[in-house]
Amino acid sequence: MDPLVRGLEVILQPTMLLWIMIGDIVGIFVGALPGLTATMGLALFLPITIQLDSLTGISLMLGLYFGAVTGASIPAILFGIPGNPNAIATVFDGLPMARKGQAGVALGGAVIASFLGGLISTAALLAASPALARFSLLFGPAEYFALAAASLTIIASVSGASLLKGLVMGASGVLLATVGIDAMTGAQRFTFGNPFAANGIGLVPVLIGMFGITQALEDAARPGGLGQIVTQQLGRLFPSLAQLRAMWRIILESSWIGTFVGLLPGAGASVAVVLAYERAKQLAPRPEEFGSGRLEGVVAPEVANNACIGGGLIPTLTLALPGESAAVPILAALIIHGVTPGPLLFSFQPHFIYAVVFAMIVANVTTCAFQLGGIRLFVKALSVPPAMLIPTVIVLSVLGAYALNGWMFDAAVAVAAGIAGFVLKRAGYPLIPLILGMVLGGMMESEFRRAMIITGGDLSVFATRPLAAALLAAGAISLVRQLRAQWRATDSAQKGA
Amino acid sequence: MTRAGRLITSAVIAVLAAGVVVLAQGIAVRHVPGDPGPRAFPVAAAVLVAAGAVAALAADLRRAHAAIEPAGDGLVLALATVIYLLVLPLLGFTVSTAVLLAGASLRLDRDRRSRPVAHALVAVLAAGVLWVVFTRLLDVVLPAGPWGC
Repeated sequence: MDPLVRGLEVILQPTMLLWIMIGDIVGIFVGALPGLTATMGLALFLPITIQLDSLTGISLMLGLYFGAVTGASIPAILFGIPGNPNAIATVFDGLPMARKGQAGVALGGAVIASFLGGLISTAALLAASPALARFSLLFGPAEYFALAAASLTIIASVSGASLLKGLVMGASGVLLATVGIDAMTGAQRFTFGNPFAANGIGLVPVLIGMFGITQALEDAARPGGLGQIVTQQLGRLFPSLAQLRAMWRIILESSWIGTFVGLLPGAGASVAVVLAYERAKQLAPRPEEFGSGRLEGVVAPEVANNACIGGGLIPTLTLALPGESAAVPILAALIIHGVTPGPLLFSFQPHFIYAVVFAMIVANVTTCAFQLGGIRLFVKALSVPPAMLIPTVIVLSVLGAYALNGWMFDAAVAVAAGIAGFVLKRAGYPLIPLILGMVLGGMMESEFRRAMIITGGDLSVFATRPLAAALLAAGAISLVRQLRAQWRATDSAQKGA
Repeated sequence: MTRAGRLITSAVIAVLAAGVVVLAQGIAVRHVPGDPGPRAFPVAAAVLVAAGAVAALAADLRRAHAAIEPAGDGLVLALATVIYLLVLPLLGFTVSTAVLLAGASLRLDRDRRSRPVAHALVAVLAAGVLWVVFTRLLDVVLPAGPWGC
């Protein structure tokens, strides 16, 4: 029998569909709860998959994976708390949309975007896995550093009115990423003897604090009464076809960004969503409106984070090298079930690869259906009176940070980040650059040092390796373009005044 | 926030960053050929933060800014959150959460749209539901306190 038909036949069995749907529902729940990541959900479900046959187990995990990544957009849009780092950039425009009474179209747009991103990256997995996996191997420390450095130039465009303050926050993020034991030499950096700090300052607690707690404190400080701050208006549920058509390039490019970043071990979806958001800003007709509730600002990161799933599975299946951290439990499940990932898997067990691809498509479709079906229910959360909702957001943020490792230290980091964010925001310091600095800082430092150790301190490696040089040049060009756009905006604002 | 508040914030950032540069001198350095060492990145980042904060301070001194509304209940809630964090391990999750939710929602309900009893009931219910979801469904061990929950 044709391996394609065999794969499809296996996935379309009712029990298989049921397991995928169970995975979806659990995944959406895990994604929607702040602090619970897709990796954590998959790791929790790993023992269950051992009781199942290999394909059923992997299909359950794929359902959970898609559900968790898509579900993280729910708290990001409704409350400004990213369910996990995949949804960092969804907050930027998702929350303002919800505040403008467009929660429905923001949630609906996020689901459709996630669906499209998942579908395109699945197609990439099917069509070009071995070639893409070989391409990912071209990335060494110099290229990773160049990618992080180029991504960091985005700070210029997300700094708002003050580039200087954005720079301060970006550098502060890089500084925070250095806290803990230095992986290269084992030296303690700014830990003050605290064993929890030795593990570093977690990105998720800072993220939850700076978005969830800071926003709650800002809302509480609003003098005009709390009634107007959260709207329970659902608005339209779907973006119109014309809106989606106008965003075709953003959707396509975000898919490629997500798939490409997903391919690279260690880069992660948080990098992909930031890059996709920035690219969408460049492509949008009115980039200056980003951050105030543009649908493109929700669609781009949601396409990218789901595209990371397919991208992350490419090196997992072809090289036994997990692209994404969430792919680690999937790789473990494959190995436990006696499936050996690698190029030979494509040659000797093509029906298995096809079955995985079909499971991804089914998981993508069912996640989309469940989440669209649940939008009216999710938005009901906004009908809670603001006086009760604001402290609940605080509790959920503290709980989300604590639940990561079961450490009060993480909860304390979230609270400290929340209060610091409240003060800094009022002093005109933008918070997004700090998160970018944290996301990219660790990668930048470790890869730069690795490159230096390999070359004996020769900086010319960044110019002589074509891919690294190209990435750095692209970053420099993007920085100049962003600065020019900012100067023009400032200039026209001054002339207008 | 007032202009003075903005200036103080930038000054505090600059001082903290300068402190980090000093602290970084205590990081143990082991020579690995080619490696700039564990001090280089934090020092570079801290110098950038300090320089940027001083420049921001100078820019804020020259510019006139519209005043931002006072922090008001935001500050009260921030203080309540810190107290919540401190009493969480002592009183346990459900009691401290119920107290925070009830107290904060009562304070924020400026128009007195709900009765205090309603706030208290919702707070106890919400704390109970969160406890069940996290401990029973997700196997997260929450701070238990003397009551075991």
